[in-house]
Amino acid sequence: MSVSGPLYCGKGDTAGAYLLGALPEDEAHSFELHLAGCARCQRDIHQLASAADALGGAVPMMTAPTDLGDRIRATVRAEAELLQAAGPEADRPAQRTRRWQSPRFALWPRFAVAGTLAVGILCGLVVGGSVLGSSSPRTRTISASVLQPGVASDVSATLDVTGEHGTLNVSHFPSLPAGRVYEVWRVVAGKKIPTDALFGVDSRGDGTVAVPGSLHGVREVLVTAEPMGGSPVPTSSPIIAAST
Amino acid sequence: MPSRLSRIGRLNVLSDHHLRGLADEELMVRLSRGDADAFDLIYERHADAAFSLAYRISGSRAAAEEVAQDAFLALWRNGSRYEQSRGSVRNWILGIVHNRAIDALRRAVRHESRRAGDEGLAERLMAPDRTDEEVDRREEAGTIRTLLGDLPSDQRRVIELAYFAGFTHTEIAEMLAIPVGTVKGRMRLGLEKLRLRMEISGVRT
Repeated sequence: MSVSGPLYCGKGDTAGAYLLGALPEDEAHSFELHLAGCARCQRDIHQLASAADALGGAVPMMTAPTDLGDRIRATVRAEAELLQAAGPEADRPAQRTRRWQSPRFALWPRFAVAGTLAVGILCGLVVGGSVLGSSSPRTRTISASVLQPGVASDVSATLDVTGEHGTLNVSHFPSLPAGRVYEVWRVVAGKKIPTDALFGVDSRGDGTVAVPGSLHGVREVLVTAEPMGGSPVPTSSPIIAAST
Repeated sequence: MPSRLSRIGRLNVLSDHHLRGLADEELMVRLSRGDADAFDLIYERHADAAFSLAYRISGSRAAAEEVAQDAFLALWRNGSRYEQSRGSVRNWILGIVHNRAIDALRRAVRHESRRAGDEGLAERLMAPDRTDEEVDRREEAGTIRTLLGDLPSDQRRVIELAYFAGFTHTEIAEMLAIPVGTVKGRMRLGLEKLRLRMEISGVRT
């Protein structure tokens, strides 16, 4: 018997719990690190994955609401047109995986800029907070407050709200140091709710990210600088605040 | 490195008829290059399954819609991350839906309200079979449900509590008053039996 077998590696039956998503995040991460060097656990994952995967397709089949498809397709069409219009600058590399097939999306900086500004300190530099107007009858563009010391005067952030969905746009923002990423938060009933929206800015300091989920009941959209991969709770003060 | 737009430029424009003839994996290649038509077809093929899983986990139409929307937009924005070697497009999409639904469930801590969600919605939204492929999938889903139901109840219970209700192994251990190691062992045994019975029944995943 191999010394890397479950009786010896100390991870015994963990593969099943991992595939079912039953491990807390820190334990799942620890198992992933272990998995890289344990042939027995890799074999367990390979053997059990088909059964775990099958569970997702084994639920009673329902019809997705028509308006859901309409909303998603409209967003995709709009983004496809923006990509076409933006030209080569539209390239958007993907990001990390939290679990083996769990994508969280982000817009990473294309170039690292050394010596960027420290972030997370409120200074009260308020660019604005009013509704500027609309690019279409259904879209409101909200000017967000930029709360960061020492930023250039031309920095700006806006939140485009269409229906119950928002897209955050930043301009001339500093790139973050290596290992840091901008994270979007939704404020509901005074609580900061983390989102999967992690982003960076391009070489011009520009970035765009969709605010996941509905803005219904969301009082404010915030952006903080967090460790790579995002954080479940804010570890720094907001840099951007947009009141919806 | 070629830009996304330049890659878009190299895509041949296909008629709807030809596009529909492409496999999911081929559509994903086009989707990753910004082809919205390819996304439409991927959505058309898998939206019902994605929504059904999201609803099964979240228990409400609104939450299921939010999860499904987030998952499909993530698919659109990160399609290039799909790797065929890791399984089918359908399982990849359902994996995204599952993770996002469970994350939302844990964030909201709404295990109780979820179960008192949209009563009767499932019946109102039961999907009609539209194609032979959908008939096959529905039958296969029914087979897997049967196989899952035939597992020893202690094994089936820990699998369902984890996968569909989002409980961690420690939460399940507390709930059932058994050691964590026993929970993990039952999960492994249950999955192993399910895999073997799927093979015997000729279920493909």
